[in-house]
Amino acid sequence: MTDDNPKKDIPNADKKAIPEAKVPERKAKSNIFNIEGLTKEIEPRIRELKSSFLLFRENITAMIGLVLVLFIVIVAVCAPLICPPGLGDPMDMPKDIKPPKKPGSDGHILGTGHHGADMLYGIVWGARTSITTSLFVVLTGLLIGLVVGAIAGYYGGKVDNLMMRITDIFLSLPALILAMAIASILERNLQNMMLALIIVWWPSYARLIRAQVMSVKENTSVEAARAIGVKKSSILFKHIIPNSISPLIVSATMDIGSVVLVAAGLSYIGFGVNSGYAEWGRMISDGKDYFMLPVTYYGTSYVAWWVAVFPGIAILTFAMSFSLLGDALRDILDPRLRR
Amino acid sequence: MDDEVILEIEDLFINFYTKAGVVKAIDGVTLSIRKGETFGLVGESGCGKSVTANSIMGLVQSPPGKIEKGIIRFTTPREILSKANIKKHFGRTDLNAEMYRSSKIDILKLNKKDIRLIRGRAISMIFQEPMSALNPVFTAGDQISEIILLHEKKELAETILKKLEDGRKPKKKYKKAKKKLGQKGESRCSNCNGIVLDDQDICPQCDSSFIRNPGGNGPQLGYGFYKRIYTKMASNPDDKILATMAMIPLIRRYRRPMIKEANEKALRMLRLVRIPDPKNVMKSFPHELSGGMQQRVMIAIALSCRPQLLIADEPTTALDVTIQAQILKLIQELQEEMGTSVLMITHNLGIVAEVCDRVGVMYAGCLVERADTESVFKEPLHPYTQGLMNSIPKVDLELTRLETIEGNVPNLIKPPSGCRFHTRCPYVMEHCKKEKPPLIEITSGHSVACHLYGGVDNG
Repeated sequence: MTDDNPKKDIPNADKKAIPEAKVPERKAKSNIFNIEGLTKEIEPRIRELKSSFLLFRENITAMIGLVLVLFIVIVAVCAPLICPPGLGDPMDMPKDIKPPKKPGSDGHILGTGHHGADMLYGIVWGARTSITTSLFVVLTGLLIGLVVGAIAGYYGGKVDNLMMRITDIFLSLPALILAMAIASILERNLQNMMLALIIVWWPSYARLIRAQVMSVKENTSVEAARAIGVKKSSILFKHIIPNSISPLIVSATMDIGSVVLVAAGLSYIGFGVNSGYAEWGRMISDGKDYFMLPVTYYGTSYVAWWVAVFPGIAILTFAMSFSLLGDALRDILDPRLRR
Repeated sequence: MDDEVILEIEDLFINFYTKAGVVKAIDGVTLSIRKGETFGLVGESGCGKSVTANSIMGLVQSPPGKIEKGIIRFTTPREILSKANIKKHFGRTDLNAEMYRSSKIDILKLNKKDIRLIRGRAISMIFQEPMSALNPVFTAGDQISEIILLHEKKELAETILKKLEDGRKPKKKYKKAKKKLGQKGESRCSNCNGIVLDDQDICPQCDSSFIRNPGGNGPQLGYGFYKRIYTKMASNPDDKILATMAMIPLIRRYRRPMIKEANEKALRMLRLVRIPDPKNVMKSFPHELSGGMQQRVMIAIALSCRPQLLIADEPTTALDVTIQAQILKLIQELQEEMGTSVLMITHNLGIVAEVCDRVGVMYAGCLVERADTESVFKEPLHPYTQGLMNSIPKVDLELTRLETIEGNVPNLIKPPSGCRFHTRCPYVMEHCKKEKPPLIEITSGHSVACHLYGGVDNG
């Protein structure tokens, strides 16, 4: 057993020249009860985060995604600074009840849209709507899907059958149609649109996690966990779910972009928020008429393309940045690809 | 050697109900393991060795598997026996009271909750492939401390309470000293030249310290809170309030000191299994370790609660030959140190000859021969064992072909009638096809299930 004691290999030829052992000078004995101990406790986590970030930085698409996401988040957070709101609800765009004005005219950088609403204001405040909608829908859907799918996959049998049939009912209807049906019977506002989207969204996560759990639960490591006496529920939540969650996280990150697309779609066909609300889908919907017919204003006639195009670019950027980020997360979350 | 029997399996029958039919995987296995010995279970693949081991752990998957008949009597240590729910299992009848006195429990009759007390603590298992048996998303240290946190909450709580009290003591002045490297890789104190262990911060001979702040008493955060929690934990480790608290985020942080303590014990376990650089191994994920290191981590997990019985299910199959010898030696050394009994499941007769005290030979779900290692190798009685011995390649004999046992392992859905080996047996008799031979003791400690020997007794 040569590899057991690494110190054995150190030659000490001369007794006089005994080298001083390289015992790293430790600070106070790391102890959870004092503050120094606590910082020491967090240290490995920080190192872990740093190595994750290094992996992230090597990936160009991931960096582009991250920069775009950060940009959108900053815009959303700084919305009151970029476009100071008026007296009413800040989510309602200020308007002057006039036909759309060209970008750059009268201090409207991106022009004005339907009823003369400021486009920049709509896009900046719409970023808030998009982020809250997508995060809330995806996180809630993820939570419901995770619990339902994991329990169904792990316990199997009747539980699995019952839960998956319920999931199938939701999956059997086309997502947009179901969302429309739910949104149409509820009052028209953002909360109800989110509710409709959550109901549509969770079944796909449940399916995904169930398949993962079913394959992971056959691993020897799960049997080994049973062999040391771990409870059945702890095995599911501590051993199986961490092993099967990474595809779910990737898919959720990519979905953040698509939730915004579907939400925009719902708003576009009129099942989302009311006209004038800072929501990108609704803004495109309002802009579609100006895109097709020229507006006549003070004797000049022009096509107000900017009313639909700028919110469209915003949606594109948002959806693309999250899907780039999701792609990169897939590489980073896999512990086998690390180091 | 102590002759006290720690595990007895009596007449065990296990069937697997599959779509193709009922697989009669275990057909009347009877064996016993004594305290401190290594019992080898040999046989070819699919003969039911692992199923026997899994049934001891209560790990036979309930559908499709079913334990039809049999008793697995395990001498359970008192501290597990005294848990309230196991007491309930005995009831009040005289027979059960007798069982309680001898502290022998039928594992097969335990409910799920009780068997979890035994798993990992009294009986633990080393798996065949360490790579897949370790959870890829946790570090090695986490996985060792998990079992400690499961079974040794009380001990951990007591240590923490002691540490809390120690931390309150006033600071003591220490002389400063440094560690020097002495001969044979020992560290020595620069002040008094006494031998110092790697993890000692204070020289045991001259009371000088190697670190800046010995004693570790800084500001005490939440002394009263921790003290109350851990007094409760020490008195009742399965306290329901504490268990619920462990599920709530932020509040669950009360477990931090306990986890820390468990990690320290895990580090000691890693040192015990002779892993080089244990501090780094603690933080590494399984895929970063070599096969031998992974198996050492597995052994550390299995032995961290000092089990009475260690089941080693082909512990060296996935390892290369040089590491195999190291792992076997390690298991043997630790076994002597802890007084654990080992059930060594293997198909490698070399390992059996090397490490086992007694051997059971299995064929198609039946135990065909049971004896001490020496007599099995010197005079194998059962034709199957003889065939096994003959098929070991030998260096000194010049054979053009290796000897084999004719035929194939029978399909266990339709096992051969009578003796299950009769289809391949060179000495087959009419009698063998009708009746299953019982396991008979021929000489003391050497039993065999074969009509060749039973016939002598009858006639």
